[in-house]
This record gives sequence, C-alpha cells and structure tokens, in this order.
Amino acid sequence: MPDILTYVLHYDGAFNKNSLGAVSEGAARAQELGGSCHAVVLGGDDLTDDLCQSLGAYGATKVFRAKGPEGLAQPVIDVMAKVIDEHGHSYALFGGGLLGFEIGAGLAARKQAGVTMEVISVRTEDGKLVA
Amino acid sequence: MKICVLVKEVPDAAVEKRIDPSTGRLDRSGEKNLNPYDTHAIEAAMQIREGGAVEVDEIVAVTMGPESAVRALHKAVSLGADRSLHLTDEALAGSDVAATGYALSKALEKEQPDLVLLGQQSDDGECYTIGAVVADHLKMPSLTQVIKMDVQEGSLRCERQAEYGYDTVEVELPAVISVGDAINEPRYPSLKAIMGARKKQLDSVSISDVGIEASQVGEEGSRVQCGDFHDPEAKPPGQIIEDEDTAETVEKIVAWLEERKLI
Repeated sequence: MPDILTYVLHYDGAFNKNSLGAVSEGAARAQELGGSCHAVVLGGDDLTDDLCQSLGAYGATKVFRAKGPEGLAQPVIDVMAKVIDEHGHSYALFGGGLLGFEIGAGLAARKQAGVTMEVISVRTEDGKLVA
Repeated sequence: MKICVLVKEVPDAAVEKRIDPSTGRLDRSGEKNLNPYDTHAIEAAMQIREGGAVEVDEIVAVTMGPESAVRALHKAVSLGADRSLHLTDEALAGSDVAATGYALSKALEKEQPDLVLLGQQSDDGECYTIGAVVADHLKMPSLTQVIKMDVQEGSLRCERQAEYGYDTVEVELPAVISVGDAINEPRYPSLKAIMGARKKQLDSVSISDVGIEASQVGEEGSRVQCGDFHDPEAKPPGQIIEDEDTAETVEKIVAWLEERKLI
C-alpha cells in the first residue's frame, strides 16, 4: 500500500512546525503515489480531538493517537512499528530534528528498512520515493 | 561496568570530502583520523571511570572498517580505552546506515557491554543515527545529544538538548548513549600512551565471527541506493557596494533593501 506515515511531535499543546511540514510533504507525495498520508501522535490528555483533527488541514487523512511519555524515541518507535505492521505503510517521513533522527533510525532498525537523513527534497519516481 | 565506545575512522578535517561517482561512496583516499566527535565519547567513558561512582572494569573501543581503521583504534586506546575490537570484512563495504548499525550491534552482542557510548555524529557521513539503530537491535534504550551524564548503580541520569530546550532523562542500563560535543573537553593523549597503544590488545573479527548475516550488510544488504550525485546549484554572486561616500553608500543600501521589500 503506497501510504505514508508521519510522526507529529507536540509540545505545550501545539504541534512542531517541522512535523507539520512532514505531514504536508507526506500528503503531497502520497497523493502522487496513489495513497494516503497518516499521522502518529503520542502524549497525554493535551492531545485533544480538536488538536488531532487539525492535522487534516495539513493533509493527514487518519491520525493514530497513543497515550505515552513524550520526548522519548522508543515509545514512538513502538507505536509506529505497530501501526505499520497493521496498516502496511510503505514509507515513514519525519520532520528534521533530534527526535526525527532517533525515531527514524530506530524504526528503520525495527522494520529492517533503509533510512536517510538531512533530506532537502522528496519526489516520486516509478512509484517510489526518491530523496 | 563494561563500557564499549563506538569509534570511526574518517577523512581528516583538512581533506576536502567528495563522493566517488564510480562507487557512490565517500572518497577515503586521503589522510584519515579518528572521528573528532568520538573523542568526546572516549572522554566521557574515562570520566565515568575516574569519577568513582561505579567501578569500570573495562573500556573497549569498537570500530567497523577497512584495515586502515586500526589507526583510529590505536588513537582511541591512547586516549584511554583498555583494548579494541575491529570488525572488518570485505562483505561490509558499501553498508548504509541501517546495515552498519546492524553489523555493529552484532559485534557488541559478543561484548555484552553495560553501556555503549558514541559521538553525536561522524565527521564524514554526519548521520547522527547509528546509536539509535544499534540500540534498537540490542533492545537497549537510547538517547542522543547527551551533554551531561551522572552514573548511578544500574542507571544513568542524562541531560540532553532537545527541540524545545533541555530534557533530564533517567535511563536504565544497559543503554546506548550518543554524547554531544558540549559534554566535555577531550584530553590529549600522553606520549607514553601513544607509544603504548600499539601494544594493547586489538582483536579483529569478521562477519562470521560475530554472526552477521552477509545478506544484511554491504551494498546488497543496504536498503538505500545512492545515485545522481551533483554539486548544489551555484548561488548568484553577491553585490559589493564600496564605501567611497558614506551618505551615497547608505542611500544605495536603503534602495537595495526597499527594492526587495525588506524595509
């Protein structure tokens, strides 16, 4: 399934701008691939329905909300790996930054996938993403 | 406590880095050195030993690379490691980040460390990610960009730089910790330590020695294929305004800014 999964970091009740950029980019590329862009958020009660639904404005068609400790990579990797196992996403996209590096690399190890960082553009080619 | 420090041989800082278009890999033909970021990890291990909060039985420098990488291990030993482990095998050439992390994790499995330390990035690939890959394979917790570390029996209390400020995180051992370069000021090796480094135990192991599956490493085992290498687009040259008459110069600068709607 050519769907793209993104992780959206939040802090103090607002989503991180790099993460929102990843959702927009994921939505655009997923559309070219004929799939959808989904988002994973992880945190506490401050992840309200309204806040999660606001990701729709950036192109996310589904949001997976999990409760767990914020600011650590491993819980996010656990959630994303489970979502990918259940829904079969082809790609995961992250905003630049510390957690993006940690989660992206850990998730790649967990899923035996490739990982590349410091990406400045992503395009589709022959049904695949090229960074 | 046993500490393993991951180190890497990288092109010397003075060498211009370039991709060899025929192989798609970094051209490593010039002068090489120990990755400077790794010296902070070795220093962190030494400070844990010297701090006395826990007893450090052994500090082991671990690297993956060709024969020449031995020099990086000698440097690591001269900075304080007790011995070193060299994972070297032609089958590893061309491994991407994920494959390299897998291979290093297999080498570390044999060592059974309580703590794995590494620098925040390598000076060549600048990936920032090997620690997280290694940690997931070893099923250990991982933190990156750690700038302060207090060791207690069985755990670490770490401070790290995050997107939104500083986090203080307690991590149970065993763990993989990538240290930021702000954590310490690495020491210089003594002449005696440099001379003695070659005499310290250095074990070379191949992929079969540590149970690495050949299909998971090297070019074939790497999921990321590189291609289409090109220089970034050249930026247009800047405009230089000579200050011959200050009033006129100011007028020119203001006009330039107004033209671009910057003021």
